[in-house]
Amino acid sequence: MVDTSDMGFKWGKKRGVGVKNREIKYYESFHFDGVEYNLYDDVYLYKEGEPEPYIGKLVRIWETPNKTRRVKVLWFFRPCEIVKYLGTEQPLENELFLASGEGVGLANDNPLEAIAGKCHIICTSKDARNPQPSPEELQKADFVFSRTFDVVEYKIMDKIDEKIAGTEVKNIFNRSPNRNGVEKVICPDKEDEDPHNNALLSEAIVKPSDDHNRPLKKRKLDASEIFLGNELKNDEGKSTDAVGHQTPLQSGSASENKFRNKNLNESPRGKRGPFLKPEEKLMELSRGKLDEVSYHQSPQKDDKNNYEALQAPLPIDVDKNTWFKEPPFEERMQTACEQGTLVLLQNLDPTYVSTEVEFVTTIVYNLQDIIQQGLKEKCSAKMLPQTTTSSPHSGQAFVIFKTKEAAKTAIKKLETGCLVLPDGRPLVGCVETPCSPGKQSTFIGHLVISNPKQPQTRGTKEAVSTSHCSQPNTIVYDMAMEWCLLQQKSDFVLDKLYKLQGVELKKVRALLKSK
Amino acid sequence: MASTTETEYAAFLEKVKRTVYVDNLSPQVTEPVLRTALDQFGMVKNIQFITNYIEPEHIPKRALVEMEDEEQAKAIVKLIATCPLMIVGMPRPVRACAAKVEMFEDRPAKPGRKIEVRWLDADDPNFEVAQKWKKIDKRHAAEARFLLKQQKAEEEKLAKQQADNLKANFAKYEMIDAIMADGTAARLAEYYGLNLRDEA
Repeated sequence: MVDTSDMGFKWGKKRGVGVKNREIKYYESFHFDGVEYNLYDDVYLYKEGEPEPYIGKLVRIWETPNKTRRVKVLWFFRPCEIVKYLGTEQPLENELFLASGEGVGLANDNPLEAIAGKCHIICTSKDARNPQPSPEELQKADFVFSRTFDVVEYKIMDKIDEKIAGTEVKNIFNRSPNRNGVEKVICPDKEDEDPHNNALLSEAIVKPSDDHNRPLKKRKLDASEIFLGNELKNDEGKSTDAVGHQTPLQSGSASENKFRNKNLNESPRGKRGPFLKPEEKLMELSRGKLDEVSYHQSPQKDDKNNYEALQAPLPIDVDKNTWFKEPPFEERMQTACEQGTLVLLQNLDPTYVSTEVEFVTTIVYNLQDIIQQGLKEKCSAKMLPQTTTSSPHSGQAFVIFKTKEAAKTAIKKLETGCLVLPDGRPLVGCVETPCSPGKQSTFIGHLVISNPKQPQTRGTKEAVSTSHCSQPNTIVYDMAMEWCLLQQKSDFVLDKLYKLQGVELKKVRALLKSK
Repeated sequence: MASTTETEYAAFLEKVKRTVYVDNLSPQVTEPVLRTALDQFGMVKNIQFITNYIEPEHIPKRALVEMEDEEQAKAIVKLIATCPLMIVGMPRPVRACAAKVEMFEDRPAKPGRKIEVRWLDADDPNFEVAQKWKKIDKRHAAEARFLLKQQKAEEEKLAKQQADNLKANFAKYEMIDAIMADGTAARLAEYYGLNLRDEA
């Protein structure tokens, strides 16, 4: 454990002494690790061996007769901790649940040194007693909460009682500003100049110091956990989470403190330095990349809006083949692929439908064909369905053109020119082989016990196990849980990737001059 | 290709609400199997497997299961979230979530929507941006593919690990069974003076 006497631990305002034992001293605030904490502040606590910090509210702070410092922490639950009781409900990404009820898991006493940093939590409950937060505050908050989780009933409660863990509810709701002269302002890096210099502007330091710990540590973990490797050099060093709280980290409060010490003692920098929030790092990188683009932008000229519009009903081209009942798309896809007439269109709006895509492709084909007297050939398209693994930002569709040349020219046209949809996104076309529809024989994850000793009776051969919900006391259940964990992890990582991509795309969109 | 009427679209939206998206299905799961599996939760009206056109081959099968009403759909999602359900094989459980409009392959177009496309002139200020965007999009696609490949590697690792574990455990049980069966256990018990019968 870090020797806090070096770190500038100082007691702040005293609150009183114990009733039974007058040697116990209660306090209202203290200075620890360069940060000032007050009673009812929300904090992170790291436990050895746990990848994620716990989040709690300080509801009591005291020093024992033997000079050990302790805090009582009222816990917040993350959605992942109470997922069983949420059902199908999807809590917000940064939503927490305050513990309530009288029982185990409500609050705990901990050594003060377990505190790893401050956390900014806004209460979004619509309760009349709760001062409502402004949109700016909501934006800056690390987490929000509006409901509690009862540790006795194991239920999510909407209503907040008068007292939780002996704390009056007014200390649980948002506090009105200017309490005790410490402004509850979180300075995002943009606004604050020199977080280093102002040791007393505790809140300003807390966020950056939290963040810079994580990106630096995460760099190592990112490389291994997310396997982005060499292919994605840009992404390394970016945290996988905008706010930097949710990714797994190695724990150990001692090493955390050392880390923080080190950086706090560095010479102050005028720029934001390592305190860039991960989002800003991303922005800087992409800004760098896109700088070259801005040089090319010529002065505005009148953009004649020569959109071709699809209005209902779409003019149907009489194609002499339309009276044929066409075989299903999948079959034609394979043949088309062989013949070279299959094109994969990317970067579509994910909400598009196959018919709309078909219209789009006629445009592609048409303009190439003004010379050929506007041959309007219909092509068929299939919009690929969105799944849990596909990107939410763009949609894809397979298009079958009539001829190989048509397909080739379309792709070339899309490469050299820019066919844009109303929101500015350009279509991308390429040749891509679809998956063969054959069945795969093995399924990763399903295990079979081969038992050559047992004779295969006709009965056992034909018996097909259908579905099965396993009980918690079996090995199967444990294994299933491991799979669940893996699935969740994969989901999470994929989500993060798409989020990062979303941010990149937003940057690009911002560059588009208004039409 | 006339745009669909409002009512048709509304009916489709309603269908979406009643549908559950199920994935992590083994290739051996067929429609009747899935139907039987989910019938216990309510009335399954329709099952449609999502064809995998472009994703890497190892992606397990996915299906859209249309239930009789929204409540049943919600109940299924909730149950599968809490208790692992395995279909035609253990131990990899299936996953379920509420279906979304974009998951349906043959969905009707939103009525009243205008699709507009145009070609950008080369000296249009947005041209370069669009080119950039295209490159970014290609890269994103590559990134996603790469990630999925990695996930496959992880899955294989887990499967292998579990298989090894299982084999080891099974071997242990077999061994115990064997010595019980052929009397070795009994003899040893006599030798050591232990009482073999369970006295729990």
